Amino acid sequence: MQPTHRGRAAREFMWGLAAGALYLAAVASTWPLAPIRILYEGEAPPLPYRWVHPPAELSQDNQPPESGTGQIALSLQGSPSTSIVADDGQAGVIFRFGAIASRAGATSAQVKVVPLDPATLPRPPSGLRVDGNAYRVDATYNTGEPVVLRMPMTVVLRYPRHATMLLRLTDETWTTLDAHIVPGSLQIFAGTDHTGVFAAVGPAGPPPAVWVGYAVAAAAVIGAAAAVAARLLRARRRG
Amino acid sequence: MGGMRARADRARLFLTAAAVLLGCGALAARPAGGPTAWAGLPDLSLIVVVVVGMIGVTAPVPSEYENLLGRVQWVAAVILGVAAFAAARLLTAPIGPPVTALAAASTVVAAVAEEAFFRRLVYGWLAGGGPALAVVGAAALFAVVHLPAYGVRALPVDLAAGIMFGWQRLATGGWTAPALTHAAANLLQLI
Repeated sequence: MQPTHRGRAAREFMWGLAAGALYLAAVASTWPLAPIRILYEGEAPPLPYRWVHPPAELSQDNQPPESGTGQIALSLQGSPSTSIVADDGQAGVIFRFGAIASRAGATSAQVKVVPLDPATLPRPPSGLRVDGNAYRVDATYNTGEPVVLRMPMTVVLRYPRHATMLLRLTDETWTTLDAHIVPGSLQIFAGTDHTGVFAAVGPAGPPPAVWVGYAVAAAAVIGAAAAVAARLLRARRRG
Repeated sequence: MGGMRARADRARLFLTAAAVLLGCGALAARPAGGPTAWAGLPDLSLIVVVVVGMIGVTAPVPSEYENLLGRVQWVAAVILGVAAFAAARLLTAPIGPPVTALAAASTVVAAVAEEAFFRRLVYGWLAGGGPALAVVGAAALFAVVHLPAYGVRALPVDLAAGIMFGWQRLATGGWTAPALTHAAANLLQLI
């Protein structure tokens, strides 16, 4: 009897190993397509956004945003898989393995992520407004030349209110990137084959009302509670 | 007599299905992120998750699925699950702003509440169709309710995480191993 039980337990444990391997494969294939905290439930309000130039109503408590810098060692294959993030976590850039091409005489690349006031930049296309700060991402070889990207890097920005697009500023012109929005962490990210200035933008005008989501969630949760209460009541009546 | 019993079974099934679907609807509809004007206070989204978790704990599920003894040791299942999430965390360097202690605590509460709902109520609801349906069905619903907050690119990861939690539920016979593992997985994202 005992060996059978042990055998079944071993087989079930193998299923657990398979589930673990499946999870690792899912993460490996998704990263860096989703370079955010994917299994994190941010069920508390985030820390206040740090503005370069805050709206008047937030200016009193505003903390200045921070930059991020990093040195990436280069090998013959180019750069390792790495990320450079602003010290306050509001912006970052991710390079996949080999994304920065190697260059004769260059042993490293310097990457900077610097917050900018969007008011100092050309206006975004009509009907859109920049949500939060713009960020300049610079990357140069230690020999001084701008880096050459062999594959796109991923830019991640946090936004304060409501963003629907990620734009890159090139030669006074904003280009729309193929962005992915993560409302759960108020982040937006996109792949880009150029460094430059990036900004999260949303429709001009007030952001969508949050109370609608709360109202739907409250109605659903009350309905679910009522269904369970009715189920418990019926069970009690039946003794 | 047989007709009455069939009617009662149908009503039970309907009410459980309603609780599951409405609970999933509430989790999917809760606004993510929370208004920054309320910084320092728990987000209303957390209250939604906690209520859904309480529904998961209190809703009746067939006792044959509730008290089924697992064949894998609880500690072994937790260690395997946490190891998988820790290894995955080492593969990545997620970008996100720093979080408050309140946010870290709320992510633990949310994890336990979600597991009470998905791995007790939803799993128990689907277990009549066999363990595979219960594990995969609960994982699929778990992944779908996270779509509005994390988007379609996170779907494979959420689905695979749900399958791991479902395996723990099946292997240990209870929902506490997945709850502890889920809480650990959420916290690992903050390191």
